[in-house]
Amino acid sequence: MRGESPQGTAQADTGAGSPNGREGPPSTGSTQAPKRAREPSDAFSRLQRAHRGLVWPLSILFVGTYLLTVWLAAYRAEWMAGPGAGPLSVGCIVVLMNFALSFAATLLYCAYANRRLDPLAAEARLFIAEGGEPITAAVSTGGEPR
Amino acid sequence: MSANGLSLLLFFTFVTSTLFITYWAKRRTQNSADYFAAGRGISGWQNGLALAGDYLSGATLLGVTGLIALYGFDGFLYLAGFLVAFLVVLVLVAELLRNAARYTLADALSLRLSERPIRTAVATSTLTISVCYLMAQMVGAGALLKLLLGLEGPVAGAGAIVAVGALMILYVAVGGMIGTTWVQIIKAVLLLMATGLLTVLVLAKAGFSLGSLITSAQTESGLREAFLAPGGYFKNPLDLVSLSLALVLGTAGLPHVLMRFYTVPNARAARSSTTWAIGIIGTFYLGLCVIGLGAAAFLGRAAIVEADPAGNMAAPLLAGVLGGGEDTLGGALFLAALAAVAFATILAVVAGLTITAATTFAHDLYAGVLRRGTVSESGEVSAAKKATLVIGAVSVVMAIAAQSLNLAFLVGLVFAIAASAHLPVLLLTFYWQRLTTTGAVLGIYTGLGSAVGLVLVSPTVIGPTGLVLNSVEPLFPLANPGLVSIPLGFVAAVVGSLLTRDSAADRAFQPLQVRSLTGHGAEEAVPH
Repeated sequence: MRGESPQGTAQADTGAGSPNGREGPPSTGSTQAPKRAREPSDAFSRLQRAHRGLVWPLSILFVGTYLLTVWLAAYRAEWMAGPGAGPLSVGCIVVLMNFALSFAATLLYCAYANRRLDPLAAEARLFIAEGGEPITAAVSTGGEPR
Repeated sequence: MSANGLSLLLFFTFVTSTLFITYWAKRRTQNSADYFAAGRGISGWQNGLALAGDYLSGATLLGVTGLIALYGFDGFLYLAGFLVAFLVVLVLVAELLRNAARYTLADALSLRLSERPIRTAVATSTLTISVCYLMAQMVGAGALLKLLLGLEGPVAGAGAIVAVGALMILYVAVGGMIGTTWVQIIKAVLLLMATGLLTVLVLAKAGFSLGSLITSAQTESGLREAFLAPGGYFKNPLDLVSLSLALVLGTAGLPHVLMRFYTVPNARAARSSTTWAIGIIGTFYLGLCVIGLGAAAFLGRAAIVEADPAGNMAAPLLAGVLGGGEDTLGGALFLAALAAVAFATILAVVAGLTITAATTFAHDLYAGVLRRGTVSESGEVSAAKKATLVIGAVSVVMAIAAQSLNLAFLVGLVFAIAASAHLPVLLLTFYWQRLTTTGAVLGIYTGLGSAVGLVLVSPTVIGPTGLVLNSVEPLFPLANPGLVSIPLGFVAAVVGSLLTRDSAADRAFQPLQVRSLTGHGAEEAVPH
């Protein structure tokens, strides 16, 4: 669904991520951004914050849970071997919880990305397509381009 | 007709249909984006199946079933690690990489970092990973086909390795990424059908009572309560921690897994394909747990160990029993079908590894570093085809030479290299503005060097339990280097960056953020 983003490498190179790095904001002339009178959209910085705010806590949660499980299996083996529910040991329950957490985290991430991140990304793309500069004052200048 | 004859018949059916697909894929391949990235036209669910086909190896199907049947709990824990690992891919890597890369991991990194050093470093680690994994898979394939077909001697093993090598070269050199993708999709479907059927049959035989299945697995495994307790297989706690760390962090750095994300049209499709893959892989693993329990309950420890001490025959033998038992047509058919699925599984994985290695060689080393971007698109494709032949031939020769060795440790090593050399630099490129080229290159070589170096002096390679120098003591106590090499890789990349300046990498950080998060400027799908 990136249909609304501009086609062509010339635009892409000036917009973002050219392997050559970039020199300063595009008002120096490489894009034909005619006027910078538009209010700067903060869609991109909101996207960046929303993305980081989810992915790091979530990653720490599920990697941490798994490593805790491994630590329990390695160093608290007698506890993990104890009776859990029905025929299952405590360890089996903990491992099954890892499976359940994996599925839940997947659904949570997808729901958040679809509802929150995708609209922000679309807004930021639209803003760039209209000649806006997504990054405010974050780009240092000078130095040799690669 | 014997089970072996049936197996061969099913093998040939699979091979013939994949060769048709390869021919069809060749006709659809018109440019380099088609050859290297399937024209970026693979849909979410297709790529989800292909990811599962790429990731689930014969070692998982046969080895982990045996592990569960013989040791119980440790097998469950191992599977959970492989699943959680895919979440790291989904949440931290897949979409950003789809938007940043073209054909290889180095493409994404070189958007910020100096191109030639970073391409050389990533190509070195990618080729090391691919060759080690290919060796493990092909030696495993040789041993497996001998077991499954009841053959003896090194000639039969070599024959199996040559057959696998020849097919994988054909798939990749002729069919490119489109052919490889569809081989992986078909394999995933076959694998899911086979495990689904076996799971249902195991549950039916246990009267659909998980409790009675577990109770008889505990009894028949001879382990009783210990069957559901940790420590049956992983005796050294620190070894377990080290291996688990490598598994959970390594998947997100495996180049042949990451390469699948360059075949979808956009980040949304990358997300949905990872979601499909997690669903498929998780369900498959849960089925595998039931099958492992079934093997313990219905075969018993003695029969499993007698067929193969490592337990690799547990799944095929169980299939035979569920099909009606020895000397019945149903039993022979089931055993043959499972053998054919295992063969398909191996082929799909080695094809994925080979196209990754060939792409890295042609795109990063040849076109990017040696010829400094002066190679035409068709020149890159023909270089990749030649590289496929060379990589295929080299891995066949190495696998035949090493076929008497137990190379199962190479799988753990591959995950450790990916977690130590690739993941730190991949994450830092996307999430840390201060990363410099020097730091990244240092991180990659430190991660790669320490992972490989530590394994070479570990108990799996030297010392009484190792492959060589049985009289000396191993210098490193752990079988898997992850616990040391992963932190080393991260520290080297961070310290190397803090000690140097790289204004281009600094300036390119925000534009890469824009590209990777919004998809602005990302590679488009090829219209057909």
